[in-house]
Amino acid sequence: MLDLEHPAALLLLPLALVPLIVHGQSTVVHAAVDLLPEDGLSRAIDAGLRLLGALAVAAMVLGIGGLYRAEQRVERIGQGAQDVLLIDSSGSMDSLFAVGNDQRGRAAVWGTYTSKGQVARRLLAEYAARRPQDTFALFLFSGNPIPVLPLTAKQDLVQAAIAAGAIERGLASTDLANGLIRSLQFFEGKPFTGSRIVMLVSDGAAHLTVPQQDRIKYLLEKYRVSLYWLYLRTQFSPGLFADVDAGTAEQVVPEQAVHAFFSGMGLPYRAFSAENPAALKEAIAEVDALQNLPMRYEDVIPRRDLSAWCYGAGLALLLVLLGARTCEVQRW
Amino acid sequence: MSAARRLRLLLLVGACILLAATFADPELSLERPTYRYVFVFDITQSMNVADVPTAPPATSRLAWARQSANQALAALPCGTEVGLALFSGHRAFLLIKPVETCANYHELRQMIDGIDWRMAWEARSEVAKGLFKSIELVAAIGTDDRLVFFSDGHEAPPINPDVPPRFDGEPGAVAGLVVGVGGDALVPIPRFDEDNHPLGVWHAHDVLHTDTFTADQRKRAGERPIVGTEHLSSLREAYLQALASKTGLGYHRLRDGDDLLQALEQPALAIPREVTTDARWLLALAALCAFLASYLGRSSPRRRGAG
Repeated sequence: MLDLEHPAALLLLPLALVPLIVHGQSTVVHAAVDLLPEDGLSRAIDAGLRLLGALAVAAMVLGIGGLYRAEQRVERIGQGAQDVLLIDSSGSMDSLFAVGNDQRGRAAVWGTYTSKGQVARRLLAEYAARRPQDTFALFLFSGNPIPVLPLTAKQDLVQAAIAAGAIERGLASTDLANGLIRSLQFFEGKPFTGSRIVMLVSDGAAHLTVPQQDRIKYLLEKYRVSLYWLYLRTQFSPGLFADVDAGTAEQVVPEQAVHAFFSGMGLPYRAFSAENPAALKEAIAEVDALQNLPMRYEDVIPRRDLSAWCYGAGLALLLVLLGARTCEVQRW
Repeated sequence: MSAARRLRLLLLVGACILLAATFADPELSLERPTYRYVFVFDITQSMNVADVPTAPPATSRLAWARQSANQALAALPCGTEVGLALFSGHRAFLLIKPVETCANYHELRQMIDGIDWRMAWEARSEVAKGLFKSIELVAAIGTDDRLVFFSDGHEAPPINPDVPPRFDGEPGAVAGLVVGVGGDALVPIPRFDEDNHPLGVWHAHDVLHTDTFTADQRKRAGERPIVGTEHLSSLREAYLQALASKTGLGYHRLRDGDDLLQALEQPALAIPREVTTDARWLLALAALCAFLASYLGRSSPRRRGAG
């Protein structure tokens, strides 16, 4: 529990013997010391002052050594969830986001516009920051699913992983089904310690085959996972919620079919449109309201520096000794 | 008051003042080397070859790169930051921006262990382009990170020697290391299915032995394709060294983690940074000396009646 930053400082500890051996007081000469009676009180004060001196040395040495209380991990029961962030990193996520890219054509130079992927990562970063009690894992999917981050509660790690994908362009193709299946399989054999969420972030430009649909539904049910979809609409696309006839939808907005399948599963599912500024708040509120199963989580009580206490104690002892010294008799 | 007594009191008062001053939290600023890397792992199929002479048998190039990276990770000083990226096709893809290695050791280790050839998004392995793109990526992160590029240098399909990929960046603008992984002899490249079951090896007729342009030309001219040794792989050290010197990077041949650690900690890769450190201990040490000094010296006056 208690530890020293620089254990080598303990080599100074024998110096605490100095006040025990040497009294450090000014002496006055007395003609016949032996004639003076034993005085118990004087002996006690002498021993006390020596002890205080030794303690003062010890306190200073511990302070110099950097005494600290080590980081502690405590298991707590709280309200939170296990979030798997499943981010679409396909090339289509590089296209222009529906909002904030006015006056731009379809083909734009990377770095001069806001891509769907960048918006997605910004929203996710905010989402993760607002749920500090949750543990997060991160998966990417493009042609292949790429597991990035194992389940962790460390926000800086989560944020570094979320931010990483916004720097360069996305990869090639999209295989939503495989990404989703892989991220659901992630829960295999893991203890059910709280609500489970898969937060899918995608423009949904994908088709799911019937066997893939079955598998997704089976896994969602088996591992009791709630699915949330943060949907990113491409510029000029009708989007997830627009009324388009089935034929056109298949051509223009394949994500409508994906959405229809998710909605029809009869399992916990919600889609949020990222372009709506309130969507993220809505999503967080919804997760707050629904994903409130008590969860076991590990809380880290950070390491605490105790050297200031050592210096304080040392100072207090020195002041007492200083007081004692000013009381010393100077002459008989 | 005797001089000795006055001195003792002064020393004690001095000790008190010095200790009290620690509460002002004095700091010292020192220049110290710090390290920040982005590890890029080549995850193309030639990295599945198990031919690193210094590795245990049946350890693939990629597995050995991972193990060595992990070993170095454990030994790098706290405060070092490491980010991870993959190379496949003709580019690198960043998985995580550099994070501190001590606080996040466990997770980083797990992430490195999880790097697998099946994460590849393309079956091609254009090492030169991948390296140039990695340099761009590291520059784009914008925090003066050092690139560490683990690869065997196997280009697939081969490069047209007349038009090698051009490096447009400024050599040395991004510092770092190209780490060569593999053995010197040509050996077959194993094939695996999606579940990592072995499917034999790549054969001569499975792969291109010339660049795509030449292959096309010969096809149109009705000539038979050239068959060479591109289905076999070795560490192309001279090629990687040439790429490294072209881009201003260092070259290191991977033997093991200790060796890699030394290469990573070379002064050329260190980033000098002003670090402010706690200076309270200096005051406390002075206070301790003053306090102890107040005990020393002659404890009794020699001359009778003094004082």
